[in-house]
Amino acid sequence: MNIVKNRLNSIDIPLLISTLCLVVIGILLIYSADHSQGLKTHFLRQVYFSLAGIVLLFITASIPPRFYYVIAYIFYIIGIIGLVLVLVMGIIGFGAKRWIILGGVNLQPSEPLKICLIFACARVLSDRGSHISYWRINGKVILLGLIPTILLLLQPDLGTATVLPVITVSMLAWFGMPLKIFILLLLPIISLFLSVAPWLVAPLVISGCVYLLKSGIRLLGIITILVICTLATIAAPTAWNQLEPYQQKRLTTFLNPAADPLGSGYQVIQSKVAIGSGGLKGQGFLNGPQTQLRFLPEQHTDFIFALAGEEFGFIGVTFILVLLVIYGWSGFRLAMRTKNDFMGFVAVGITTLVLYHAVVNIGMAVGSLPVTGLPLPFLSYGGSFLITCMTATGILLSVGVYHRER
Amino acid sequence: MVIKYCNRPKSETDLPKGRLTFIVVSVMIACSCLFGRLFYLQVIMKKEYSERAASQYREKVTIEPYRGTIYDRNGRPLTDNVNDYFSVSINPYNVTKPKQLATDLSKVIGGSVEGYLKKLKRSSQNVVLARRLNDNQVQALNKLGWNLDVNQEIHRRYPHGKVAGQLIGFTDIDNNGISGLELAYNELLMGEPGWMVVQRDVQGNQHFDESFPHKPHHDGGNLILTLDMSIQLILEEELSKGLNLYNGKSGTGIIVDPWTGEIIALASQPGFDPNNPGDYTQSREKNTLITDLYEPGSTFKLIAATLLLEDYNVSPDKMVDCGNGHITIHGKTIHDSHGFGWLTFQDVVAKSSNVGMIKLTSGVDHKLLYDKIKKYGFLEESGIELSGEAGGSLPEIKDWSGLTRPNVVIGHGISVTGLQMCMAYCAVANGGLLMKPTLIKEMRYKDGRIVKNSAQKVRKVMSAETAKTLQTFLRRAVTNGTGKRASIEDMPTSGKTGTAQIVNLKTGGYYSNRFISSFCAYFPSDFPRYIVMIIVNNPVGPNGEHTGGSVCAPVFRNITERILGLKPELWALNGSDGNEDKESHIVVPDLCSKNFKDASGMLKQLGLKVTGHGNGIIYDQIPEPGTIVSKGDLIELTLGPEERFKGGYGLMPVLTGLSLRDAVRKATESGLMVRIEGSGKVIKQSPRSGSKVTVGGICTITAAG
Repeated sequence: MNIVKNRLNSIDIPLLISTLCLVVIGILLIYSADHSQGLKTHFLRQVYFSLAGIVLLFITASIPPRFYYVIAYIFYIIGIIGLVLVLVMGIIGFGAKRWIILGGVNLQPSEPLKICLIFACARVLSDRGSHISYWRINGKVILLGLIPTILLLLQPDLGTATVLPVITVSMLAWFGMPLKIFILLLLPIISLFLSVAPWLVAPLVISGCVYLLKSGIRLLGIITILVICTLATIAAPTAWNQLEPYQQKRLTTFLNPAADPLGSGYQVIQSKVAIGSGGLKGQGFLNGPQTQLRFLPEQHTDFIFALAGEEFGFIGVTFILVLLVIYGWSGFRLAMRTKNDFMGFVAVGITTLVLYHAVVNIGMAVGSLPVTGLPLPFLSYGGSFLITCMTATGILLSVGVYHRER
Repeated sequence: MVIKYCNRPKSETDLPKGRLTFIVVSVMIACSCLFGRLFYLQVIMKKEYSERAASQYREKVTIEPYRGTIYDRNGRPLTDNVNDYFSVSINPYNVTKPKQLATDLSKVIGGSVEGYLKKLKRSSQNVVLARRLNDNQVQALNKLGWNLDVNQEIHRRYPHGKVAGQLIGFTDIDNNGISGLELAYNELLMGEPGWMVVQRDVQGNQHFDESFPHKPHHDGGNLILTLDMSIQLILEEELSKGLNLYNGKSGTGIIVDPWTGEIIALASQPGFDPNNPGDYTQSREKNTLITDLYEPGSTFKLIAATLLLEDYNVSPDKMVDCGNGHITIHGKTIHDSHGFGWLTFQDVVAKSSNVGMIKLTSGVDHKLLYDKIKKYGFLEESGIELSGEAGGSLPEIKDWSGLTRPNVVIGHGISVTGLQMCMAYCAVANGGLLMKPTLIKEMRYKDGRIVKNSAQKVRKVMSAETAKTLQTFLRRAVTNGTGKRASIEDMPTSGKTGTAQIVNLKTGGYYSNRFISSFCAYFPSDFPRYIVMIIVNNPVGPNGEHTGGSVCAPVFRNITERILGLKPELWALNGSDGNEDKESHIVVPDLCSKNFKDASGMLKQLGLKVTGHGNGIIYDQIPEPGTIVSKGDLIELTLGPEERFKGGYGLMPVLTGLSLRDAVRKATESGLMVRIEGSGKVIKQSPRSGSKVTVGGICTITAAG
C-alpha cells in the first residue's frame, strides 16, 4: 500500500491538471460546436472518449518502464502493419485512405503509431551497447522514422507525415548530435516554413544563430546557413508561382485533400475572422456568431481553436496556451529528472508530439501555417487522437512515477 | 572511443543543459510567435474582424406591411392580402453565366432574354429579376440549380370579385391604390414597412432575436364603409338582369340612406373585377353614377315643382291644360307621351307632362330657378370620397335663350350626375335636408386613432311642408302616374321616372330613338329608409320599352322586394302614420365596438330585449343601427374578438406550421412581441393559439427544420 501511496505522491500534478483542464475545455468547445447545429452527438461521444482516456491515462501511468521497453519493437511492427493494412483495405475519407475497420470499430492506425515510433526510437537510443557507433544509432533511428513517414505520404496524409520526422529529430537532439547535422536535418523544415510564414521563422532562425554563435560555431558556417535559408525563402514561392493554378490546386489537394473545399482560403479566412472578432473577452460561451451560424468550418475538429478564440477571446486562448506551456515544461522536466534513460527519450518524444501538434494546429487557425489538418491535442473532437494523447500523457506521467527506477 | 562525436554528458549528475536550452528556446519562440499573432488578431485587429464577421452574417430585411382592409358596414372584409406570389432576385456579381440564367428565366417565366440580360448587367447588389411568380415557377427555377433569393410578395385579392369592383378599386404591383377607394384612401390603407437586422447562417437561414436592431412594421389602417354587401349584391344582380332584359347598353344604380347620406350600395354595370384589372378597358373602372354627366329628363321636374311650391305658392291642385300633348316654343316643339288634357299640378308631376310643366313655369324668374338648382347641389361636387366626381353643368343665366327655361324644367339642357339627382330626392324624403353623400363609416388609422364619420348636412333645401307635399307627388307618381310598375303590395313606395333623349354629339340635337331612362324612388313611403336610383343607358326592351317607368321602375321593384326579404323588419314600418305612435318607435343605437354589458344596459333602458352570442366586443347587430323598432323587440348582438378591428387585447393566433417570417408577422399583427428559438418552420408556440393575450405581451415560438 505504501508503495502505491508513494507512487501516487510522486505523480506529476501540474502535468495531470493541465491535461485534465485541456480535456474539459475541449468538451465545452465541442458542446458549443454541437449547439450550433442543435446536436449533442459529438459532445457526448467526446465525453465517453475522455472518460475512457482518463482510465487509460491512469493505467498507463502505473505500468513500469520495463514493460514499454520490452514491447517497444513489437508495437512498432504492429503499427507498421496497421499502416500497410490501411493502404491495402482502408476506407476512403477526405479523399485519402485513413481508417480501417476492425471488429466494427473505425481505427486510424496513424495515431497509435506515433507512440510506437517513440518507443522504438527510445529503445534504439538507450540501447547503446559498447559496440554500436553513434552513426549507426542515428542511422537506425532515421530509418525507423522514415518507413512510417513514407507509408503515411502514400495515404496521403501530409499532416501526420510531418509529425514523425519532427519527433525523430527531437529525440535525436536529446540524444545529442553535432549541431551541424541537427541544423542540416532542420533546414528543409525551416525552408518550408520560411516560404509560408517568414516572419514566424525569422526570429527562430536569428535566435538559433545567436545560440550557435555562443556555442562556438564559426561565423562563416552561420552565414552559409542564413544564405541557404534566404534562398529557400525566395525560391519556394517563386517555384510555386511558376505552377499553373490547377497544378497548385492539385498539389495542395494532394497534400491535404480535406483542406479548402470551398477554395481561396475560405477556411482560414473564417477562422481568422472568428478569432479576431472574439476580441479580448470573447463573445461568450455559445454566443459566437461565426460558430453558431456555422460560418466557421470544421469547428469541432481542426478549427476548434478558432471557436475558443471567438467565444472566450484573447484571455481564453491565452489560458489554453498557458496550459500547453505547463504541459511542455512538465514533460521536459520529467525527461530531465528521470534516471531511466529509455523513459527520458520517451518523455521527450511524447512532449514534442503534443507540442508540435498544438503549434501547427494553432498556427493554422491564426493563418500563420498552412492548413495541414493536424488536430489540437485534447481539444479537437476525435476518439483515436484523444485516446492516443491521453495514453501518451499516462506514459509521460509514469516517467515521473517511476523516475527512480532504471 | 565508442561514441565518438557524442556530446552527451558522461556523468548522470551533469544535466544535459545544452539540449534542454535548445528545446525550451524553440518552444518559447513558437509560443511567443503564436501569442503575438493572437494579440494582433484579437486585440489590435478586433474592430476590423468584428465588422467583417458582422458583414457576412448580418442582413437588413425589410418587412412588407399588410395593406389595410376595407370592411363593409357589417364587418365583412372586401379586400384580402395574400402572399402566394414570389419575387426572385440575385446579386449580379455572383452570376457566372448570365446568358444561361437569362435563357432559363425566359423559358420558365417568359419575357425576353435580352431584358433579363439587361437587368443582370445593372451594378446593384440586389436585382429583382421577376415578380409575381407562382410556386411552380419558383420550383422550376430552383430545379435548374440557380441560387436565387426568393421573397414572398404580398398582394391584394378581392374576395367578392366583381361585386362593388369599381367602388373598391384596385392596386398596382407595389400595392399602391390606382382607382376607387384604394386610390382615394391610399394613404390610410398603405402600411409602413419595417425592417429588422437578422443573422444569416452559412446556409442562408435567417435568425432573429429581439436584441437585434429592428423597426416594427405597421400594417395599413382599416376602412369601414357604409356599404352593405348583401344589398350591394342585390343592386348589382337586379341592375344586370334589367340590362339584359331591356338590352340596355350600360346602367348604374345607387342606394342611399336618406337621413344620413350614407351610401348603402353603389353599382355600375357592366361590372369590373379588380382582381384582373388588365382584362377591362379603362371606362369599366369608373363609377359612372359619380363620374358621368347625363341629362336627367323628367326626374328633374322635382326642382321646378319645388320652386313652384316654395316661391310661387302654387297649389298642388292648380289645373293646367296639357292639351293634345305638344307645345311649340321658339319654333321648337316639345312632346308629351300623349295628350293629357287638363291636369292638376300634382298630376303634371305624377304623370310627367312636359307641356304641363312648361306651362306652369312659364312665368318663373330665371334667377330663382337657377338658385333653386344650385341649392339642390346640382352645380357643385357632392364631396363624395371617390375621385373623379363630376360637378354638373348649366349655362349661366345671361347665356339662357328662350328655350333654356322650358328645357331645364323638364330636365334637358342641363347635365347632372346620378349621385346629385339621388341626393336631391333624399332631401325630399328626409323633409328638406340636402345631405352629404358618404361611403365611409369609420377610419381606423394605423396609429390606433379611430375617426367615425357622422352624417353631414349640406343645407336646408326646402321647408318641411314643401317636402311633405312633394312626397305626396312622388307617391302619386307610383299610384297613379308613370311609376306604376314600382308599386309593391303592402309596401308603399314613392318615386319619379325620367326618360331623357340622348344628345347626339355630331348634330348637337337629340337622338329621337335613344334614351337614358331613370327612376329615383324610396320606400317605405311614410318612413323612407332607402332611396334607390336606377339609370339605364339606351334600353330597347322586347316590346320597345325605353321609359324610366317601364325599364327602371321594375328593376327598383325587384330590388325593393329582395331588400324586404333581407330585412323583414322594414315591414314593421309599413303603413305607420309617422306621428301617431312615435313613442313606441325606437331607433336602434349603434353598438359597434361596445362591450356586451354596456350595450345590454343601454338597450334595456330603451325597453328592448337583448341576446348575444360570441365573446369579446360587438361587431354586428340585428337589426342594424338606425333601424326603427318597437318596444320589447329583440336585438341580436354578435360579439367577436377585438382584433377584428384591432384593439386593446387579442387572441393568440395559430403560428405553428408557418414560416418564421410569417409567424413573426402574424404575431406582431396581434400586437405581440416575439421571442424566437431556432430557425425554419414553427413547431411550437406559447401561449397556445386561441388564448387571450394583451397587446405588447410576449410570445415565444420555437422553430426547427
